[in-house]
Amino acid sequence: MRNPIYNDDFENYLQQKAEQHRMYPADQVWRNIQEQLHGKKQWPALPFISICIIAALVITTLLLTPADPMLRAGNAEPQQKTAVLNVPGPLLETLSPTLLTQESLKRAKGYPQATQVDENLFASTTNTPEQIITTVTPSPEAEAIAPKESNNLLAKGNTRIQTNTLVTAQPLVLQSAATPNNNTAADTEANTLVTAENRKNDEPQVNNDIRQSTLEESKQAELMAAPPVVAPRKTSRFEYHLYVTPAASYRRLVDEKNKAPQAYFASPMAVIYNSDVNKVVKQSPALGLEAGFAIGYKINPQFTIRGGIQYNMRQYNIETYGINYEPAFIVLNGRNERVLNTFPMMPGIKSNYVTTLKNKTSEISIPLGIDWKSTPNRKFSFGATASIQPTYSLNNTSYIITTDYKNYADGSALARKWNINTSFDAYVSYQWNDGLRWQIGPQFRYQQLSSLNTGYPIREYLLDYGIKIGVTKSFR
Amino acid sequence: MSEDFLILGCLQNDPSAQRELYNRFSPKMLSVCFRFAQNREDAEDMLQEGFIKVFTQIHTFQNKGAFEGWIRRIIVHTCINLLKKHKKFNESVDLSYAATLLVREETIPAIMQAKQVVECIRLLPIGYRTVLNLYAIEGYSHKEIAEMLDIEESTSRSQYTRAKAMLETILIRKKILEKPENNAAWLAAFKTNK
Repeated sequence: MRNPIYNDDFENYLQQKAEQHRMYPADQVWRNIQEQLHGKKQWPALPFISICIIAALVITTLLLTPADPMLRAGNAEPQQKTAVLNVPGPLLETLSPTLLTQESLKRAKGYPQATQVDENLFASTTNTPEQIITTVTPSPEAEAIAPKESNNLLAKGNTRIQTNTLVTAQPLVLQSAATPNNNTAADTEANTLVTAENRKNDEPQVNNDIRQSTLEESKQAELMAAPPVVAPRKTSRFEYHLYVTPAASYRRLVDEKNKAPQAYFASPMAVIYNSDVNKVVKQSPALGLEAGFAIGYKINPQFTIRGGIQYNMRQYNIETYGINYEPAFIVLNGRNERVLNTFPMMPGIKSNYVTTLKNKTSEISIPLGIDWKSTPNRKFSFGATASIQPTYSLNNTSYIITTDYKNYADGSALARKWNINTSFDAYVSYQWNDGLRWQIGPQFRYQQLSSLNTGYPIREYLLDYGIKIGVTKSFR
Repeated sequence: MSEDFLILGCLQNDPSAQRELYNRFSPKMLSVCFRFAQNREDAEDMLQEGFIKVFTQIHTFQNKGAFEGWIRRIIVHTCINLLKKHKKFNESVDLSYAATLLVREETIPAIMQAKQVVECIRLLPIGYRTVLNLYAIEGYSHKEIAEMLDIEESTSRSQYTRAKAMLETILIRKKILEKPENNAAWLAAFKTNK
């Protein structure tokens, strides 16, 4: 730079005007700078995880809420408690539901207080004969004659009659015509009814008493013989899974110092350590913990996909010596050649006494995985689970070794917030009578990305060995 | 945030500190780039490259001078390096070229005189412009300019003399400066515009 004293007026004038000039760059310029300095914008994991959790909660809420009782009464119970008579077309055409109803009511009038007919039910039914539903509620006085009346209604065909409240001592259920065991009874009865109806047209008022008594007897016998049939309750494909895993945390170190700026290593003051970092560092595992909750969906009896939320606490100890503050440096990799000036907390070289540093990490993650069971229908079963876990580090206390392997420094600022873990466990499970399936088995969890930023030349991969204890129960 | 905290934050690779530093110095530095570049896009490319160097080399700043001056030197060197990739600085343009320059009124917006002056500088041929920028505004010596641009020192001197004359002509034609009556006219003109 030349001395400004030699500037002439023209140069001073230009300098003054140039200094006053300002221009404002486009936002894209800063985005490009930031991208080159810090990499591309990270995957928006937090919104994605939030959406997953909300979706899981909504699904869980919907599954746990009981269905509308009206809908259940309309769909499930009629299959158990009603009998449908399939009557040939010509007979249906000759019979009007209105006439049937009127005739039934007339007969009911002959037995005062014998039956109470739900007239609203009639009002709400359509004119289609197959859809008419007649509910007959017997009064105590009418118990003796109700079966006969019921048979009369049956004899008119094309009606669906609830029989569970008839005079029989035990609850009786007529299975629908689709059920093979009860189909015989229904068919026999229908055939008898059809035959009786045909004869009625040809021979009015002939053998009426005989026909009625025959029908009554066969009906009574059939009803008494038919055992109550209850359809098996369908279990949900969804299940929840709770687990806890005491685990020991280890770590694997990989030295990638060859990617660090060579200018540092070429300087006269640089001390090159070529030994294996795993041999230099003295470390011991410590007890950690994992606890989580997951919701599973059974693809088939053997395979279940699971997603949930999980908390992990990992820690391990580093053995070091004495306390001595001195400047230390950490050379970072990459195109951004940086040197972090810091001070060592614990010198790694031997001193008078030994001290222990504790590296501790708390994490929350979203495990997404698949579970396999060898024999899902037996009490004892073997199985295995694999999962991938996007992980967010809640807090991190981390001491890292300096580039020259001589000291430890506080490396919390270099800790990576987002990471990915994978987990695998094998287990043996036992199904209790209350529907709970307990499981226990070994688990292995491995961290896929280094705990520290990519700039730090020594990669640290945490791994946990633990015993997983869990319980699984299906939603009803 | 004070400059020291900004530097400390940038040393720790703190994005917020980097953004603050960028916001503080980018308008002035883009103006520097704009005087060297052919157009605004090229200037923004220069600014981007320059600030990446600033952030990655910030640990080399030793507090021995003004931080802004340090950034400015990095930016100027970045501009020169990018220009050197494409342009030659030995080109010599006859002074009569200035008279033939078609300086349209609309190309120089009369928002403020500083902007007019910068626009006039940008009308110069690239060799003249670079030397003029480096010598008159950035304060480099001809020896330093010769080293930076890989040209002879005498070439730098002659380029500057011609650039100065050409710019003078342009500024007078644009009525930004008054036509000098004698050799001391620049002083009067400068004082008038101050």
